[in-house]
Amino acid sequence: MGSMLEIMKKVRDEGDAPDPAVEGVVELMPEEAARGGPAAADSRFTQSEPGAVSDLVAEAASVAFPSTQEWDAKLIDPAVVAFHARYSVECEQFRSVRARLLSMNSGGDPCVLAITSSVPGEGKSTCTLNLGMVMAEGGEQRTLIVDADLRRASITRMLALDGQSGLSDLLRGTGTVKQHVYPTPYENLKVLPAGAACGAGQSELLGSARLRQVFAELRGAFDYVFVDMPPVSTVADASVLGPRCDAALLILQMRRTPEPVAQQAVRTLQANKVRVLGCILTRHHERHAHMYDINEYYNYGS
Amino acid sequence: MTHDRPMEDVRNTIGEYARLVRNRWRPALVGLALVASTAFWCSQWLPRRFAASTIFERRDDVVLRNLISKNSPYSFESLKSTLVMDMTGSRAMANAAVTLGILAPEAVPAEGPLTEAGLRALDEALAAHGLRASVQMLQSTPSLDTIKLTCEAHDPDMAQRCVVALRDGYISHTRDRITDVLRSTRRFFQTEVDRLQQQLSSTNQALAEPFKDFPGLDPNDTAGAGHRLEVLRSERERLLERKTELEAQVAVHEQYAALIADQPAGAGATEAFQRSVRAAMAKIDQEMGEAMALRRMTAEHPEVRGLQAKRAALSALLEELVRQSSAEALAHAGDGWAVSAPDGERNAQQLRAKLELEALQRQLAAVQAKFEQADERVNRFGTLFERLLKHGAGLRDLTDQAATQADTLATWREHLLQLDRIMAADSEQRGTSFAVLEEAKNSDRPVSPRGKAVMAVCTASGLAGAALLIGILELLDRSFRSAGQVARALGIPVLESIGVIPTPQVRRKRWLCRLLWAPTLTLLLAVLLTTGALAYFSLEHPRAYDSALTNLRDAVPRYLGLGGNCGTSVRP
Repeated sequence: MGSMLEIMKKVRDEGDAPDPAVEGVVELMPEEAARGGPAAADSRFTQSEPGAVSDLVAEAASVAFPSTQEWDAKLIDPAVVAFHARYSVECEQFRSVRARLLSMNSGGDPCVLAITSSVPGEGKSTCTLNLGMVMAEGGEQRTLIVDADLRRASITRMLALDGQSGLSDLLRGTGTVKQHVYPTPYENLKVLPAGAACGAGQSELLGSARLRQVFAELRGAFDYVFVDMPPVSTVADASVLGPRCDAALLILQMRRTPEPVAQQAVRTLQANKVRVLGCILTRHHERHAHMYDINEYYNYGS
Repeated sequence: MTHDRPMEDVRNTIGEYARLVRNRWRPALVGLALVASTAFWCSQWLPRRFAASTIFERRDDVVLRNLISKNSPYSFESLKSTLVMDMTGSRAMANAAVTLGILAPEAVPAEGPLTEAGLRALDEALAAHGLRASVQMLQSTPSLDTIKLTCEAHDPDMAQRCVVALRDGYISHTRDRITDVLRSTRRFFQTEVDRLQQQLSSTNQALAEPFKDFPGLDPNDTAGAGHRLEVLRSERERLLERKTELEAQVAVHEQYAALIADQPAGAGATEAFQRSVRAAMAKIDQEMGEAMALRRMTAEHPEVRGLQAKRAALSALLEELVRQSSAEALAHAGDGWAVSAPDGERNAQQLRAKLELEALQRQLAAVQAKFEQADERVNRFGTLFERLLKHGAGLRDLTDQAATQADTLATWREHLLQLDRIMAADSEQRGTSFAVLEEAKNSDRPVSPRGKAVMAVCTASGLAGAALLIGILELLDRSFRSAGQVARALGIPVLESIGVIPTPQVRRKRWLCRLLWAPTLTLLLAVLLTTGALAYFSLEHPRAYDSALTNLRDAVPRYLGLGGNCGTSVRP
């Protein structure tokens, strides 16, 4: 899978009407890559103050990205239904989660949500990506997805941002937030990858004091920050990251996650004073049997 | 609404089971196929029971049945009531077992019940061959029974032979019993005939005793008897008259003889004789007057008539004497009277009177004897007539009784004759006839186990195995299976349930799963259907099944180029 830079190059080469902004970003890519972040190559990011994260992000958000149709679908993981199948049943289910979250946060306060699971492989990264995309697709919520799973970096891999700078670099004190935030097919959705030097040995970075500062910056710059955390029952990273977040969503895979493990995960989160908003069940086979045929609904009247 | 709650519970329960089956259909199918296939395969070794049945009818002769049942203490009802025991009782089964050769003849005594050892041997023999018999009355009327006899055994030939042996044994046994009944009935009839004959003889004797002297007298004909009595009385009266007349004549002749003997010779003798005759006539008149006045006798009374006859005889004698006296007087007047009769004439008169008297006395003795005889007959017949008048009803009853007894005796003799005719016939035609309506057939299809029952049981076993497997898997599975379970277990709300995102990886996994499962399921279904078909085929067409297996056993070594048995499993 290629990187985001390759996507942008492809968009520039194959696009009918290349956007000047994209052109600028792409032109700076070699230099940016040398520094370890795309935003660093953008002059508009560099002209801004490092502390004024919100402004910078807002400015970055204003950069015209290609529409979802213009992005190469092969470079984004097929599990991201919010990109590949926006009218699918599963995407609609993520929109339902979005509606629940918005109703819970009726005041519109900035919200940092940790998304975790009890055991690996339950679909938390997929959920995080899809949830972030459906949250951003309305254009009203400034959304950031943080790949805080430094051991696996699933989101980074799913968006083909492998090797790019990110959270680990940020925690290590390299660069600023704006230098490590990457655009996505959605205009107001940004991604903070795990970082270039992610791995099992980098998880100690999560315990650094820099993390609080970073999260404070993110809280001020985005309306919703979805933090993809490692599994609760597997590693202790969630115990470190969880308290930095406002609440947590627990991902459970149907017919796979053992009940005692899930209970232990909830108890662990609650022991770390993490407010568990609720859970999202994945791979729920029976769900399809009761779902309204959404494709038919969207075709209705057309 | 509250009344929807039970239905809601039912729906939830059904939905829960449907969810279980939907989620566990693969292990369920595996369990179903394995258990049901095993059950189907094992069913080939279930012991088979074959049945053979025959239908025959037993038709009783209605006339004979009624004759026996109405006229004797014996009947065919006992044959009907003991039909089942006669056909399937221990003795019948023992005889059939001996006929089939599965029981030693020594185990069955010629008469009487089976011994303990015999019963034990019989039970063992029946159990070894699985022999069991049952009787069903398809139709039962007083004179016609349609019987269905069924035998079950492990071997169809044995069942067929057993049913034939039982049927033939029953028919033979029944005929023997009918012969016994006929013999007993004949003895009874003979006894009755003898008894009735004796009764009739006694009655006839009692009836004939009073009339033995009066043959031809009908005790019922009172008028005839009265007329006969009158005739006897008339005869007696006639004899009485004759006797009286003869007595009078004898008396006259005696007086005449006495007068002649005592009379002196001359005319005075005639007058004296006339006087004595007149005195005798006066005496008779006096007696006759007394009889008619005092004794109230009519002129027709024999005694009166006898007196009249006596008087008439004396009167005639007196007239003779008067005429004789007149002639003598004329002779005396003409000759100068007093010419006396000579002694020779006198002697002749005496002799004549003596002879006439003797003849009259003899006649009188004869008439007297006849009269006495007639009087005795009149007296006896009068007594009989009085008895007839007094006890006529009893005599008539006796006569009727004799007639009835004669009729009854004739009827019983007819019965006896009929019975003799029947007993003279062949034993097959004695009263009851048997007709086989349906001969026992050798059925290939076992009656137990039934094909459908085996199919049902094996399928049910498979379903039970599948359910058991599902239950075990559900018990061992600690994962979440529903949103409600998650909410209950964790105490947090479920925001949404996301379905399976159809990524290429998921599709690949699905395809791989299908690739693995399709042949597996095909194999399982093939095994299931094959074993099921084998089980059904072995039950419904066992001979064809065995033949096919034998051919297969022979064909496989040939195909493999082996000389011997390749060890193909063949159902015993």
